[in-house]
Amino acid sequence: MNFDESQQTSADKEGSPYVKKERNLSMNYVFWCFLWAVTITVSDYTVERELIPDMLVWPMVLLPIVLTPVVFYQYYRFYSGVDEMTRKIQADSFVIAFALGMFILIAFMSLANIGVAEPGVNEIFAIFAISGMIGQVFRTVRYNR
Amino acid sequence: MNNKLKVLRAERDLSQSALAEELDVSRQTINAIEKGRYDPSLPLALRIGRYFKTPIEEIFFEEM
Repeated sequence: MNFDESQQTSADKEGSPYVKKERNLSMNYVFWCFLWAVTITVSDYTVERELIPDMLVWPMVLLPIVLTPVVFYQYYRFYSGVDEMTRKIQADSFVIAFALGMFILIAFMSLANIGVAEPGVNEIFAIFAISGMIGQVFRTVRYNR
Repeated sequence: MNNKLKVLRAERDLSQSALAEELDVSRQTINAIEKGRYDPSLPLALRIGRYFKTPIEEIFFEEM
């Protein structure tokens, strides 16, 4: 038997009970994130352009707001259900996201003094989301090399 | 921190996946512990010790 298994094995692909649990939790979270992103986009698009009847405006505005705690709850379920190293990767990536996000944000705000456009709410959201992804990739590679 | 997890595993002819399943963690976690990239929490270290019937200070030790 090969005892040095730094690469993915067939057992990983088939899935141990833990792998299946982690996959279910992450897919569940991804599903709710996707739904959340779709509702934000559809809500913005339809309400701003007045494409829906008045009676649907409030429900459409409230839908992404109502989904927000659901998404965070799904993340909490994912975070609580995964093993400790995955939790550490998640926590580390939040630190990296915050540091990188603040760096980019402060750089943009300083550059705004010399005429560069200041980041809006969407850009700020995107900066932190992308910084979080970079953090996750960075830490996952660090632990799984 | 160093450890002899890989040695203990090899002595029992266990794969990383099998040990991970026994300890309810991912195989990547076992791999990272063996390579010294991740130090397990005390509860996980105790589970490892219990599984191999070995005191944790004999499995995990500081680098000299």
